[in-house]
Amino acid sequence: MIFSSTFFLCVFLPVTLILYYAVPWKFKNFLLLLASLIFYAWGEPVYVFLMMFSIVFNYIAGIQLGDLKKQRRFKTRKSVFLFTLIVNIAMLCFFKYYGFVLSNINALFGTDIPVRQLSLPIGISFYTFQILSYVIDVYWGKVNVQFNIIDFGAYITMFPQLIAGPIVRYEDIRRQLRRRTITLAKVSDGAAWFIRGLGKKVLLANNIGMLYDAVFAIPASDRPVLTAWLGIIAYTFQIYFDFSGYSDMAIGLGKMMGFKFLRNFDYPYVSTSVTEFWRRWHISLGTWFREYVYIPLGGNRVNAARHIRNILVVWALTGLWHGSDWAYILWGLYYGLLLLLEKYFLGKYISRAPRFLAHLYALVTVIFGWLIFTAPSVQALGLNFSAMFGALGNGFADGGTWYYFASNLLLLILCILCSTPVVWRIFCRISYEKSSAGRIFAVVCYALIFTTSLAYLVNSTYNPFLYFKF
Amino acid sequence: MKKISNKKQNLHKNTINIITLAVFVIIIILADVFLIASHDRTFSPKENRVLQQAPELTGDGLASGKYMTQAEDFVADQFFLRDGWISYKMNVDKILGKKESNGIYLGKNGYLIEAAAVPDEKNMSKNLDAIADFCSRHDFNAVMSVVPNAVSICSHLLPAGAPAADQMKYLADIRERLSGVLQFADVSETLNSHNREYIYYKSDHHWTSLGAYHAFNYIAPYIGIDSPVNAYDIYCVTDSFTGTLSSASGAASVRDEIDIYVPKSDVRYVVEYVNENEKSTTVYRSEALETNSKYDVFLGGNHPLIRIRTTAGRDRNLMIIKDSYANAFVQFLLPYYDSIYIVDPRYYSDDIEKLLSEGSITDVLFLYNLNTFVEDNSIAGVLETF
Repeated sequence: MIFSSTFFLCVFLPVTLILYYAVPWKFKNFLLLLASLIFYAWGEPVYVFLMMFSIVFNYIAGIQLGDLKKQRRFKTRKSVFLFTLIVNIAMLCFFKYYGFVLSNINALFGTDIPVRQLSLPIGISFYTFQILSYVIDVYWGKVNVQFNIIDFGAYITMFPQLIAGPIVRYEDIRRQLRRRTITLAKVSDGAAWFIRGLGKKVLLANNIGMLYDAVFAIPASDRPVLTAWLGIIAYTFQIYFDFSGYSDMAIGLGKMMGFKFLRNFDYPYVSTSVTEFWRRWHISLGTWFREYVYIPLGGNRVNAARHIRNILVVWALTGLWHGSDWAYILWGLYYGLLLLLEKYFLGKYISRAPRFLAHLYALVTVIFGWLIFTAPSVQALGLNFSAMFGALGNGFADGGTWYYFASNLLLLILCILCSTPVVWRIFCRISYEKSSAGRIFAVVCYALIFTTSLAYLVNSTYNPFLYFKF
Repeated sequence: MKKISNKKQNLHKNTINIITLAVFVIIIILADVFLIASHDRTFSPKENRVLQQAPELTGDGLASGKYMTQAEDFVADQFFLRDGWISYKMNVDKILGKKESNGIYLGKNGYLIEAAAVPDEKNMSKNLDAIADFCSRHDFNAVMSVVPNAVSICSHLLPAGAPAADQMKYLADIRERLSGVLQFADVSETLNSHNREYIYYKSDHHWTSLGAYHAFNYIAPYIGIDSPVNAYDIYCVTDSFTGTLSSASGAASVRDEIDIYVPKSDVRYVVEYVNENEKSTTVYRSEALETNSKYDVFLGGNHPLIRIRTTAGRDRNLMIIKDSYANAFVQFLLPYYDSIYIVDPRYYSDDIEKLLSEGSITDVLFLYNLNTFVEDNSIAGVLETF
């Protein structure tokens, strides 16, 4: 089930929330767990059992890690920890990377092992990382063992962030699992977050996504320069509004149930460097890799050579997390190298350069990043790239270019404005005006965003889910 | 603007949020009340499709996920004021400056124009081979006409710069691959020279009777008609036709007229819908005008096999292997053949050889529109011998 559907909005959400508010506090987590399992089973009727196994397995592992600590059997504890880690990662790898690894082995050794890739359980990358954050923190002694399997299960499966993040670390939410408040202010703030996220996803991402689809349906060999740029810029907006829209909806739903998740996106496209971009993009994933891979490897408190190794390892893994293909690894390494370049060389020039130049630099690098990210193969990447620089001889623009440009101009302007903090600032400025007109304006805006999104959902012919590969 | 305190800001924010929440809740309640109270709409005339009914809960449906999909469609299809929401969405699209909707261009002068279909190479090769083989097995006069669609004939009506696939290239390719096998009556030039006339419907993917008329005048000599009558009684049978493109794009305001062309001739005929076991003395079905698919006024839409017998007495018998473009074409043919066999391979599954000998067929006409022809996967199956 996805949030941007009439079924979720009109059936699943109201039923879940009414029951959730109605039951006493001690049953709320159980209700959340139950609802989340139904939510997951709705899209993955078979893999829900895999997730249940994961919950039970890691629940037991957590308790064992606690017991062994009390018994001071540190060697056994380490083995149990490693075993748990391996089982979790192996499950992720089996479903996500099995086909990829086999086809590479086949290519490398000229073997002919039949590749049968199982369909990927939705959200496995997200919930596996949540599980790992718990197991690792328990091992490090940063958090206490969770003895309540319902609380633990609710944490892993929590439907708001189950299928598209944000990746909530156990540490950030363990207290809320026991004690949280539900107030009208919080619930209504959640609704506002949800509507904003829905608008981003349904109105901006889906619509601009059609431009991307149209352009990339033209073979690269027929794509003029400007059309090629339009296409990848459209994708740049699509993925941002889609992903951050999902995160906003998740944060909103969380608030409606009394939780507070950390924000996941912070206007990434206003960045003036790649380093800044990754502090603003998918923040929860960056934090996860920093806490559980980068710092344990020594972070930057090591000599330059090891630091470079650490960065490259983290970014190859970040790339791989997004999908099992060389394009994703390449995409990760691309960012790893850029970050290193900025750290050791470019940084001082960027900080001295005029702001708009730095901004342009960051945007163009990010756009090239998406070009790698979307490439179905390395060869296609080369063609897509060549088309953007006229190396395929299709000229600068043709009639189609102006058609795409004209019929998406307003949307593009909206996307540009909404990816900066300006729109939100003006919105707040008007709505906090002294007179009530400002407040009326604000409510009308929300009502329009919600009803327009609904109109698109009722007539839904195009509502893609982009994270099947994550 | 005076800056107001943070406390005041929070207060305002809360007010806004709470009213927003109220709006959110009210709309959802409305949707649910309507869903529970009236969820039995079976058909949407505006979209011309069957709407999802409440799905039945079964173990299989749950395990395969079919139940879930149906339940989701059910809520969207039975959504209150569904038609209103769809028009609302169309208007937003318009404000955004969009010039296409679901693969249909919103063209000039109210024209809705279907984008060109891209050939399905595999099936098309099979079809072309089967046609070549079929024609070489027999010694009837074989003619083919594949009619280009509005997207290429009326390209001046497309939104400026709209990318249209090159249908003429596909047409030339088909012609080339069948050269020497049959006569190819290429109507594109004729249609092009009339492309300012009302030769395609604005809201539907078919050609009008006028379009078919121009094509007929061009094709006639190929299929053994030397002196067409050229005198017709023309009747406008409806002015409120909204076709498939209207429903598929959601652009509901376009209306078309349907004209019928009745040749002035003394020839009488009987139309026999073979599989349906029905007979009629006219090729027009007026009851179709009461429905939403008014183009079905021509021969009642598509049928596996239609047999028309006439009093023409010209010793020529025609077989048309066709798609729905031919339905509006048949009215022009009536005075010239003793019998006309109309085979739609998408529905016909019987022995075609038997028909050839039974009807003493002298001429075979393949009549398709290009969009359908390049995507067809049924011709080969019917033409191959059992």
